[in-house]
Amino acid sequence: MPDNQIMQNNLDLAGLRNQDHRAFEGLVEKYHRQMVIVARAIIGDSLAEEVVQEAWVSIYSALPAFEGRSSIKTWIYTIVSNQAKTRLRKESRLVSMNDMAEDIPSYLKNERFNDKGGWSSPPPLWDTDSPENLLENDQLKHCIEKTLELLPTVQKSVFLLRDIEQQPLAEICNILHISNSNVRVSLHRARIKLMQVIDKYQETGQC
Amino acid sequence: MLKCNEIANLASDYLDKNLSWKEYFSVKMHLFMCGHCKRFVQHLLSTIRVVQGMERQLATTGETENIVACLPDKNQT
Repeated sequence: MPDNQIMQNNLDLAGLRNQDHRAFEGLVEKYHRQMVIVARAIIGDSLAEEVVQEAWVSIYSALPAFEGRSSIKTWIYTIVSNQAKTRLRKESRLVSMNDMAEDIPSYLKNERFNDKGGWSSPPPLWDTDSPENLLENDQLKHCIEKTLELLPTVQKSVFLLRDIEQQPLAEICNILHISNSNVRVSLHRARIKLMQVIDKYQETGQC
Repeated sequence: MLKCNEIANLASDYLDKNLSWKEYFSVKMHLFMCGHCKRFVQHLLSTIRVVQGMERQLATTGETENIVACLPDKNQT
């Protein structure tokens, strides 16, 4: 068996297929946080941990049959994403996976620009644009958290997967089953909505 | 020559280097000349860094033991 069939991303594939607990712990340590983000993105914060717990049990049970046709990361993402979607349907709170018609951030609206496409209402100055300085402000962080929580499902999931988990766009398309252009538009809208929170906070001192 | 409203739409693709060479260069040229758009892109980048910093502060640990403790017996599917 070639080496890459035995070891993948420093994981012991042979041990995993044999349901070795130590190998499995390595897998959990490596991917649990990302799994929670995928689940959170699909089903929300309150049920995400539960769905991920169930997904880990499914993954453990299915490991002997893992053939390695896809990477183990893609395989476990698919499992957690499918379980989260199934749970979402059960909870009868199915959220449309198409956010494209939803509210467009003001920065992307025509009224922000003049007839020639220049700014009629340019971005306001911030007291500081240093991330380190901005992170020192607990009230601002609270405003950002609140906005992140309220983002439409797809925007939130794409933002978390791309900007927090650093997943490639193609991987995000696979996990969420949406097109590349949908991923890019959702990501951009999410980032701009979060930026507008800082704009507003800088101007008013409030969320 | 790209307009400011086009830059506003392309800013994420620019930061992610998800543009053709020609588009990337056009955005870069516009930013060189337009202070408002330069500020817009800088603020967008700062926003991403701020949220990344917040998530790092929230990183959770100590879940592994709970998960492994809940596993079924070996080969019991």
